[in-house]
Amino acid sequence: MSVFPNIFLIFSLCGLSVLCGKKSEEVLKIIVNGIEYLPTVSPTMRLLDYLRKELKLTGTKEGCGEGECGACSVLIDGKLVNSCMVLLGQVDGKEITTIEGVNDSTLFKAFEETGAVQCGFCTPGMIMAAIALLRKNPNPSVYEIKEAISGNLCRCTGYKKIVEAIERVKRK
Amino acid sequence: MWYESLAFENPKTVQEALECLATDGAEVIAGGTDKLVQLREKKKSIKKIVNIGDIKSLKKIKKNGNTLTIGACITYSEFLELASENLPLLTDAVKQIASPSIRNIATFGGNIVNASPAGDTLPVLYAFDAEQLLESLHGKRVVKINDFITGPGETILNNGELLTEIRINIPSFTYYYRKFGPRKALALSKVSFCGVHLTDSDEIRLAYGAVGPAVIRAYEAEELYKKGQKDKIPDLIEKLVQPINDQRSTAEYRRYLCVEMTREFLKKIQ
Amino acid sequence: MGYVGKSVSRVDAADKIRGKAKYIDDLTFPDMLVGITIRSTRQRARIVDIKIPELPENIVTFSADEIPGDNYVALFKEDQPFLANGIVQYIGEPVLLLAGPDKNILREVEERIEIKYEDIPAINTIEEALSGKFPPIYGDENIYKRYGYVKGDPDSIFKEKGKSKKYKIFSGTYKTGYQEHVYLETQGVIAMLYGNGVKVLGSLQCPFYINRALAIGLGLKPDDVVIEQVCTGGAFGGKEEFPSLMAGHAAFLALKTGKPVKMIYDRQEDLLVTTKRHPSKTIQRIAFDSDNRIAAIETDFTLDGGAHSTLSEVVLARGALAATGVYRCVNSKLSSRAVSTNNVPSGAFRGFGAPQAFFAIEQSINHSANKLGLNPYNLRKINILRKGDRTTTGQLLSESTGLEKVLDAVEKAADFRKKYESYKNKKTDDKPLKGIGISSFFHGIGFTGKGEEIIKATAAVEYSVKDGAVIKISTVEMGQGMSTVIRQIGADSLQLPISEIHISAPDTSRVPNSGPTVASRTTTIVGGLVYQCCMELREKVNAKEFSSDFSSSAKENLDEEEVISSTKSYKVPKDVHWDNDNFIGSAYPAYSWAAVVVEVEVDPITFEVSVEKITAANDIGKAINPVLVEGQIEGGSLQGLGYASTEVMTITNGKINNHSLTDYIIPTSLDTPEIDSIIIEESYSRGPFGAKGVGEQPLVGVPPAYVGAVENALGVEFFEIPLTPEKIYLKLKNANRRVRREC
Repeated sequence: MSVFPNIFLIFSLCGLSVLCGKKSEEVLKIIVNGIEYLPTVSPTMRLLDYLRKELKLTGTKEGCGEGECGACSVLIDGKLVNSCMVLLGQVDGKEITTIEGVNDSTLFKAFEETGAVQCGFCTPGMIMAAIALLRKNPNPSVYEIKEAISGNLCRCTGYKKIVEAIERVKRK
Repeated sequence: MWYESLAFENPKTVQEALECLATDGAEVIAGGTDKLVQLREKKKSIKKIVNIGDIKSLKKIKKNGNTLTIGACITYSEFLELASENLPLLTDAVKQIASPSIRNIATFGGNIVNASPAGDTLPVLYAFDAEQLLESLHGKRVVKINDFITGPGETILNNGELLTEIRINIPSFTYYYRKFGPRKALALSKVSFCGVHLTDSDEIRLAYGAVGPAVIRAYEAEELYKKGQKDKIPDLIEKLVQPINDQRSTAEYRRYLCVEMTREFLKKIQ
Repeated sequence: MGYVGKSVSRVDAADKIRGKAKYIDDLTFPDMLVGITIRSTRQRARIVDIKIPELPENIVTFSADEIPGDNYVALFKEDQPFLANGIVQYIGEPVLLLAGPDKNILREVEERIEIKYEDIPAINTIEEALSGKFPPIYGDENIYKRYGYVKGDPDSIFKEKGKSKKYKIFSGTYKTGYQEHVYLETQGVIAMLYGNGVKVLGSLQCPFYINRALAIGLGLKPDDVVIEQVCTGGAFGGKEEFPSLMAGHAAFLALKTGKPVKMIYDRQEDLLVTTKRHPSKTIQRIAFDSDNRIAAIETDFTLDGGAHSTLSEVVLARGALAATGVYRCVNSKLSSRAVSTNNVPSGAFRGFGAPQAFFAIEQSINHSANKLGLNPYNLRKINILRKGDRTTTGQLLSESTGLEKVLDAVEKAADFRKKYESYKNKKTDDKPLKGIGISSFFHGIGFTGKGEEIIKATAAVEYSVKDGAVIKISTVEMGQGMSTVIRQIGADSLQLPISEIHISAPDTSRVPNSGPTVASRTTTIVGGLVYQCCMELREKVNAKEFSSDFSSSAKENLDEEEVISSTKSYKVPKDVHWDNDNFIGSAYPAYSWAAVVVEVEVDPITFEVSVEKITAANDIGKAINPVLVEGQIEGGSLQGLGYASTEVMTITNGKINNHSLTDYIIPTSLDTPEIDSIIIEESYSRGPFGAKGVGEQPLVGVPPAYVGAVENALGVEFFEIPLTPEKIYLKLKNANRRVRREC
């Protein structure tokens, strides 16, 4: 195969890239827990990997890698999302909150006192789900609590004490 | 993940997106909840990922008369917030999808293009003959859902073409919707059923999910109803659905559910 | 006494809540490499050839012939290799290891490695395993272990069938499926060079199991293999024996590369290749006399051990000992075996053989009650063991036998008898159909038989006025609450504030071997040793009696930095004897007792089952920390419910069909019923503050209570778990029954 067509292809690709929005080489900007970052890694890296490997925010856990367990839950612009299901490029310009950016002593205390924590691996994700719920609905019913954490699997507690903990901090 | 080596494009308009898609190996991502699971298996043909989730014009939802238009990148949560009153049947279906965190990013367009036989919005879209607006650099076309999806994971979408809008004509109707999953959240359908009774014309629409290569719309059964032979419908459904045995359920139970749900629906509209 | 009996907040909760707790995948070390495992794609085959492509310089392979020590994972037998040695016995068996800086590149390399196999006819099922038609996988008979006994004269009772009406005899064949642990944190280890050998950090239950296995596999002295458990995201038995294999892999790679090597399984790999609960098949006959007393029980119990023996022989023993359940039975016959198949190895899982055996006996009792026209509660009341009775193996229940109490407690709390009768006699067109089911069971505390005698658990406690007490044990915190409960025991034993009680990191170079964190033994056995150590410390400072204050006596008798210590090893009480060949004597040091009631609603058309409520009563001697005990009951109940209902894991030609959390269905918050936990405290004189164990028990009896409830709702018998709507449908169809009306 001659070299010529390849070069031609590269040129044409570059040309198109300019046309179509943000290229790979362009600077990404994301805000994590109030701090603005300009990631230099690939925009097709999973948000979860960026948080854990690049920012060393290891409170966000990987439990399944396919959106089925909720251990990697974070907030994106205030909404609960599985960070294993999001590419870094998709959150360009958005605000991410991880467990390290949460300081809700009432909720923390409720989790501690009700016995909502056992192995702890689902716990940061549960806290994120609880926060997403309480922001939207400060006075949820038991069903609404169960529904809000239904994407967050826990294998230790049977959920009862987690629901109790969230119930305890209903914002009146 | 292997796909970290891929290029990424983040177009802000449909036009930009179409230009991105005009090259080989472009893979569209909207919410990504299906796509990223599929991408775990390496696909060598993919060269770059094009994110359409930030295109504002694809995130619009509007109702004009009886027509509900849903932008392809409307997420399930956005639908529940903005339009849950417009089509309670669809709202019922959407509420039972996966989990809150999935509903926050998964999109209507994604569910359609993914073309899973178990896609949760699909039976409803089939029941209303929803129309898909497809755009490419060469123009636009409108395709009915039944023609759009051709098999499991297969659609008539051409390279360089993008699903941008879903249109649903909403007549006066009553409905019966059931999703059967192995648990109450985070569940893929074993069977889903959507029965619609058009009250003005006294016609019915029957759509069955997860019991064939694509959602099955039971046109022949609908005709029987028109002819006043609704007693024959359950037997016909038994023959019409094509369920399989897999890790989620058995063909026999799925077929049974289809028949029984049809009976339930017919009883309800008596 | 300030802490025991109080729901002290967990000491590890605050860090876990804030995401600060460091699990294995949260740790990194300089120059650390990633390791992956290349696995067999064949069920049973000879490896003919392995072709490794030319590799980049920074990628290292490791094969079986490079193993420095002996190529077996030491546990009971020597049949499981670290890496397949010429032959593979299951899909997923490790064949080769790779290490390098980037996992993505390793996966690309994996695609280019060619392994040629020559297939051997594979054994898929228990029936095939015992058919004699296949070359055996293990030994001559393809059986890892057998146990059997005859007590009294069961044969004469069963022979009377047909001739006399003296006995009513019922029989059934009961089956249970796989269960996967689904600890939220998948398996993971990091190995690195350390001193003259290696150190392995990991998510694990049994530091000294790994220490021994690695010393043999690496050809090192045990002291040169240091194992340290780090924060562990759930285990349930799944991190009992399996981590020894994985730690070996990481250690081989670390030794070869000289660098730290991290291995973390992703969820799919974890679901496909790690151990599961043994599938089982039980054929049981039970005879009742005219007073509805059990006259005899005959049990044939088989476990599918999979391709390697792992812990199958002890799982089998615990199951075999549960064959007659919680009932007085003088005439009993048992034959049991764990067989070898070319399926993924089965292993430890909360309950450890008991859930399988209790499913059979409790369903036998539920079915018998129905046939005898008795309420299942009443039939149990006639037959249960009480204080002063002897178990099937002749063990005298001299104390702490709260069985009748737990049974009565759940009956009363759930209004069982009344509901059972009213649901049984309901009209068929009620919608939905309600049902209620019951079961009663025990869990033997500590190792089965001579286990505790053999392992001779050792604990130590050190104390100085300056630093307080340091408890040294190899028992781990894996979510169950050990680190809080053991501190509570220490604090009350020494009358110190809990903040002055510390627990040494579970690192084999720093702590004595208090045994593995298994068998519901931590509170009773290890906590008991800690209590004894504390008592000796009290003596050392002249504060033997609780009336003298330890802290002030210590200040009087010790210099500020003077360290006193006590080390205690488990001694079998003189009255405890066990004959393992004949199953005679004390099978366990103590028993916890439990009863559970499950209430369901069954959709009469779709046969979907919605569980409304679980009422569980557990006699655990003393609840050291009631909230943590409730946590065990609630979590165990739900795990048992999943086992009974949704957790389908099937295997076709050795390949697991449910290998994602999308298809292996554990309960979500929305699937969780109301759970009412009742704690009964029948003090156990040899447990610390009277405590027995609770870790495993809550799971054990849920399946028969669940199935019993569905039977109560539908009026048909079921013999198999998981009981899915598909199976209910099939049963009713085959019984030519439709509950619903035609429209």
